[in-house]
Amino acid sequence: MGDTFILVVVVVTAVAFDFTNGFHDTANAVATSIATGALKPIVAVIMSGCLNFLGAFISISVAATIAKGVVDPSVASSSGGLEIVLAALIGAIIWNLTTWCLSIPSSSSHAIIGGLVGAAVAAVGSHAVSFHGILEKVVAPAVLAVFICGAVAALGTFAAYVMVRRLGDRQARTGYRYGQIGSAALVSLAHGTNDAQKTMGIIALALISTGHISAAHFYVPLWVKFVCAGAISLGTVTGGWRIINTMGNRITSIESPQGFAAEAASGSVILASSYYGYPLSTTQVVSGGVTGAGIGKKQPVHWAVFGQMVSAWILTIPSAGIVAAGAWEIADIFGKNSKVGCLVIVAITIVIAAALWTIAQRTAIGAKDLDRTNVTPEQEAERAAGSDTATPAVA
Amino acid sequence: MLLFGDPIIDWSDILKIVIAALIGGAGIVVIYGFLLLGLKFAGVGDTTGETHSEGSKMTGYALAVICGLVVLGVIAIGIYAITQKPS
Repeated sequence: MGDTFILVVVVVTAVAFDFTNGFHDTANAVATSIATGALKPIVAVIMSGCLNFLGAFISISVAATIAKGVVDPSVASSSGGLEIVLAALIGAIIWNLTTWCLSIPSSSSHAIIGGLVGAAVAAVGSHAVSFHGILEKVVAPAVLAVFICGAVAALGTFAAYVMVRRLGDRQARTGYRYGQIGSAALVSLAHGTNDAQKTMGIIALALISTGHISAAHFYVPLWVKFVCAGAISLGTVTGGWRIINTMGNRITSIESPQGFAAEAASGSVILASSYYGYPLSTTQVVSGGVTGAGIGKKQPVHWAVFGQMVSAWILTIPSAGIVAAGAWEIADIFGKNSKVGCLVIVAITIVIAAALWTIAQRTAIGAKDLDRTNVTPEQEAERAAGSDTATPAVA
Repeated sequence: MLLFGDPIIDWSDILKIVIAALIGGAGIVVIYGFLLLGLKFAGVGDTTGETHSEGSKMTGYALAVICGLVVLGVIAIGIYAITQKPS
């Protein structure tokens, strides 16, 4: 009975994490389309939410990696395994909300991996974690992908502006705005299949720990797929406007050819890396793409903002891990498989989340602040010609 | 790159990713640009009132259709790649 209660708490917390993952990562797919006026902000997030929902059903391989590849599934099956999963989720949620409050795009994927590592190390010891696997599959590709995507986006942007000169400003900018809708759709689909599955993997890990699923015959129950797809798409539709503003407006001033080049490069790097077995952070890849698009047009990049993002990326795994380890230690005070311990750490998380939300409301950014659909291609060209700095739309 | 004597990066995979990203990322931008160029030759969306010969229109439409098919093909490959993710 105790296990079932804690399992329910874990599933609800996992769904909450999936929701934060949705609104934290909305920017990855739609920030540049909103920044260039290709899509109205509300339309962009609804489109992205629907495609995230569809993407969640395409495959379960990422879910399997999270359920079996980061920590030894036998650890989750051991006594106190559910608390480890719960603590990992809490570490990831608090890190996601902190970076959202600071308007910094950071990786939800790395947050949950950091949470799992921190909670597992605190509960069992470092032998439960595959550090070589994390370096090989997470850290090294994450670093390389940013540079690869940045370089490809820079090259694509250069090529796009060669075409702009041949096409004429108005036709090119209008055409590339339409192209951005397609590229944003593809990145949304890729995001759904990557990130919704990570939560499916976490719930599956919890179900393995209670014996509802066998690690040897891994599958994701249909209700888990529906719940995760629904939560991430609902989070996406809610719109993480603060991070969309940072990604679309504060790194560099984005025009439609640059937006298209950045999205095309990001989508290609994410899909190619996934195909070859490197699950990447979509946030980091898209940030690299946007920066590369600025460099490709030889326009100023707001390096201070980029530096903040890189600092957050470096801190994500250790910070989420430390919070998760702390959560596990607090729960452990009440003993293993303690309902009270689980409820206490969930209550603390709710208080912290409410505090972060209250702080964020002091500098709230909404869809109306970011709507650029009334900007004509001519105005966009004038703005580009006149802009010598990467000026934040909403600072 | 080596860590404690074990290679942590498979550079041949990385090279394949770079090539795929160049084709799908920079390549698609160029092909899409040619699609727009084809539409320009065909006079689609032209507000200048410039006259376009039949030959120019046919060439423009052909270029736009071919480039459009290439773009759709790359998107299809992208979706296929999503479904083939290794576990």
